[in-house]
Amino acid sequence: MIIVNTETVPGMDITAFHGLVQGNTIRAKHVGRDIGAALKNLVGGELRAYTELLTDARKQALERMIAEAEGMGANAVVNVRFTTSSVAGGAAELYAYGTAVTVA
Amino acid sequence: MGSLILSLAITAGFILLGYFVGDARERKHLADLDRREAAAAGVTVVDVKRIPPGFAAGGGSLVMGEVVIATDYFKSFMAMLRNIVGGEVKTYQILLSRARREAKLRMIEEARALGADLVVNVRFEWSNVGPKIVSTEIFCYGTAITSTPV
Repeated sequence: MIIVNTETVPGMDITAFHGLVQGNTIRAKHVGRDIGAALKNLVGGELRAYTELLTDARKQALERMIAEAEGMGANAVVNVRFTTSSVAGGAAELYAYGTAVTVA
Repeated sequence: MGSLILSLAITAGFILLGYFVGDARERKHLADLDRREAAAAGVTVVDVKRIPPGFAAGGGSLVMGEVVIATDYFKSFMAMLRNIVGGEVKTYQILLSRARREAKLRMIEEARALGADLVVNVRFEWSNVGPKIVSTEIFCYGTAITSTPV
């Protein structure tokens, strides 16, 4: 499965469009992460627990999007976009979407 | 009275901790960014969608970089003071630029691991889902161009 955020796959031709595919996940943070973050706010620096949380969630949203594209018989997803939103209760949503296509 | 002095002493302690430890950590990160950016200089990064002349395109792959960085107590205190008089908040300007450089570098490092020397259609995004402290979440992504399909 080829995943790109350009409108075509460079060097290849799109032979069929299958439609919009999407994937999302909503992650809750746990209290320990917020305590760690409050301590890190004293000395500054990367909040690795949060970076990991966002990266893992983004990967899962992408995997769900890819699974939908595979179900349509596509071999690529083009023009991929990401959005995040904050849901009540401190949970974070990661959303990935794109257009499933067949390239050759 | 005693509790007021105690809380002032704790705040002053946090400010000093931020000033000394936070500043050293920031300088270390900036030096690390300089070194890694020099190593990544061979990768061309553009935010246009088409392939620049001189590059062969046989395939593409999504590459991403992400980072969440918090500022230190001293810098948030200085920014609070800056809010009173207005003007550029230099400490946060450095924080955001560090986050963008780090996220972009992580994306470039992913592209290099794929053997790509070109990343097109690069986008930066900012999210606000983390802790309620002074921190910034930067996500950078683009399409790494490879000579053969990945």
